[in-house]
Amino acid sequence: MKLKQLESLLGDLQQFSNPKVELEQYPTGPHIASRLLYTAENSFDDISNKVVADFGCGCGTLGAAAALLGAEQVIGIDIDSQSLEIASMNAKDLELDIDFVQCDISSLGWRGQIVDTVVMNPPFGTRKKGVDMDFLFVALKVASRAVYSLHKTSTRDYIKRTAKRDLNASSAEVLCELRFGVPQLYKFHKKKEVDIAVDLWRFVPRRSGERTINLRSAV
Amino acid sequence: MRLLTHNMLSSNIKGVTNGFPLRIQVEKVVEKEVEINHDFLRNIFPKIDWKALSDASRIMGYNELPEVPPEPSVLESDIEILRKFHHALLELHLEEGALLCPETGRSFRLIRVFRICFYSRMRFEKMVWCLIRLRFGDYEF
Repeated sequence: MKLKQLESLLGDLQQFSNPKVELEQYPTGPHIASRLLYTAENSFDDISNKVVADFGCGCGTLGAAAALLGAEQVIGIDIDSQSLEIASMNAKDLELDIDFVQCDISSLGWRGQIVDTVVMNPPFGTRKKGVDMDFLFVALKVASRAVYSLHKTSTRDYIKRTAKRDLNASSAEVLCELRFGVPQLYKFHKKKEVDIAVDLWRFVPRRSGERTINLRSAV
Repeated sequence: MRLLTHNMLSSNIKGVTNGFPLRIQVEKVVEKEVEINHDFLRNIFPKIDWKALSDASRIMGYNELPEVPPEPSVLESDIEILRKFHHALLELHLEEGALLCPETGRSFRLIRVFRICFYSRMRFEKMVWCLIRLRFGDYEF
């Protein structure tokens, strides 16, 4: 599938109807989503024929992109039932078979590293401090091949240090810097749109032996 | 929900020591054919908990998967076992039902999402789209 075609399909997806500010619900635009998944697949072969999880999937844009690029199985996880309803409908519209799980990421019950790749656009931690690192912690426990994630450029050094030292990453690489266009979604937004400098990261987890993880106690 | 997903999920209830596998309470199973991918199956085989998959597929009404996992070398040549593995892992869908924590018995329901839309104003044709999501825990904001 061509990049433009992927971007176009993702552009038709429904987004949050009533975004919840406390969950930092912002749509992952088709421009970023298509490029994230396209890079993951064409540069690193991390998507097609793989098991892919979309953490904090929201309306399911990244998961849908993974399925469109040939992931064998996609699982979308989010805490919010309303978003998952939209994500389910988006998957159905594109005739994609995606399993969705409603759960708080930090208390996800998961067995081992069956998932190959995690893709995510996690909350940045502006509402609940440190939640971006919670997401990364869990992603690096669950993925066996790679984790693709978006984080504010201002946190770059901190993430690089923490990922390798504390979160079980054998490598942490910024693939590129992007401008994340945040639309005027909430009452406290004064401008029509704001561009935030965001890094697209690729983390590789250190391999571990097969075990059942109780992520709630581990966090 | 596919059994591949079931093979990854474990109970997240506090205090539970071994929450895997979740027990399946079947209300409705649907079979959806999907193209077989031999390489994918061979790669994922070592990561799958075979007993959990075999037991789950039996509960879903599919009895062809052997209880004892095959040797990895068998998967290289035996297309029939690959087909059965493929069917159990990816083609059986739990459409309605619940997953139960094996220690506490607490149930996690599968929820179907319906959207009824009118196809056109003239014909008022109803299209019912049924979608699945699995719900863990209760959240209120």
